Amino acid sequence: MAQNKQIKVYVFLTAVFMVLGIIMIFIPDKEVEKEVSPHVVIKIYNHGNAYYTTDQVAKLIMDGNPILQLVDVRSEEEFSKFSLKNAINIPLEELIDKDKKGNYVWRDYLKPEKKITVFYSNGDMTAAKAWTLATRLRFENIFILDGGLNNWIETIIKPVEPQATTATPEDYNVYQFRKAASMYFGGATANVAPTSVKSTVKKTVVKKKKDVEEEGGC
Amino acid sequence: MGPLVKMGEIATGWDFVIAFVIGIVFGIAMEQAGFSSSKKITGWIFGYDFTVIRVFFTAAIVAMIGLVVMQYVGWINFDELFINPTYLWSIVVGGSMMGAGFAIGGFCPGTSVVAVAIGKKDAMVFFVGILIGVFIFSEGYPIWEELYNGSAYGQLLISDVLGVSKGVWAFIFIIFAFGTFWGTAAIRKKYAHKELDYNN
Repeated sequence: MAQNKQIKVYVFLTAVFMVLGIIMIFIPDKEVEKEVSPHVVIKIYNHGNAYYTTDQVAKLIMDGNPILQLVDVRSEEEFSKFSLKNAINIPLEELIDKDKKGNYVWRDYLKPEKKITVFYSNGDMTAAKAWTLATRLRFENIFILDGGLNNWIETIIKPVEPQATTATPEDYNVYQFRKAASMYFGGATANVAPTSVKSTVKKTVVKKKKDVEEEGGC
Repeated sequence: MGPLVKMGEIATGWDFVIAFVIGIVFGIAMEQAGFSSSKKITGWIFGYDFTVIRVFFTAAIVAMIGLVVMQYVGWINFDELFINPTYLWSIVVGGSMMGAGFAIGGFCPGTSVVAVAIGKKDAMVFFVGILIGVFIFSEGYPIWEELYNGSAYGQLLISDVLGVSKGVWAFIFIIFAFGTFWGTAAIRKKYAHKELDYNN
């Protein structure tokens, strides 16, 4: 008797699942959203994961760190006039162009393995637009150069000496780094003002020479 | 809407708490279903007990139906789900070893922990074995690194490979599952041990 009852339960369950299974056949797959949803983009942006400072980028360039990929999102004309070292040019207008097969033209550049891609423009508006587009299209590890080239000039090429009255030692460290970077990028001459700073500047200059030597060795 | 943590419906800090609670409930359910006994777990190999297969198939088809329906009504974003990527040979080799361990030791990793929790000695030995295995794997990683990371196919879904919708694949799998249920019931009739004591 008990066994009969159990079999009845099994038959019932089988029938229920068969019906569910038949319903399944008629449920279509929902079109997968190829783009990241806007609120995920906002989340990435708000977590402060969108920007690289000029100092960070300068350091990566000076170290010759191969992880960095700089992308100039301005027009070709602007790019040819001035660009950062080793940057490639992808004008914003061409960023989402597709080839005949429907693949993004710049796919290989925007989806490099284990690279950090930093977009830059004159300010950071154009780069931010490019960043939003690229992030929505699931290209990862993309960042914006904070303040763009204008900020690059202000901080790296022509760094301003901190006010002696208000500056913290940290400010001086940053300044010293920037002064060295400025020389590296050819924005300033070596006559750095205060003697206290001099020694560190010298040190960095030596480092720069080493970099050049390494490059020559390759 | 879902996955809840990934889409920000639940704050990320909570995922460990949720995992902890689900883990405890899962452990209790496994223990109550008799999965702390290696006799029960290896039963399907010898044909006297198919609980393991039934439980896994039931879990699979319930989850399958749930996911297909939920993605259709928009409760879950299938694209944001974590799907284990396929490393073909890594799975073939690793799966065979795991299966062999399953048959020899009478536990899978999860059930061995459940059995340790209720004080089974064979499970404790098994668990030490797991730790030794983990150690050997980690220390010898350079040796099998190529196999481990090789033949990668990304996130492969059977429905995509067959070129059918997820719903059609769910239907095929349900048929397969119930075929297995009834087939194993017939085998069990033949090999069942009436007097089997699962507690020792």
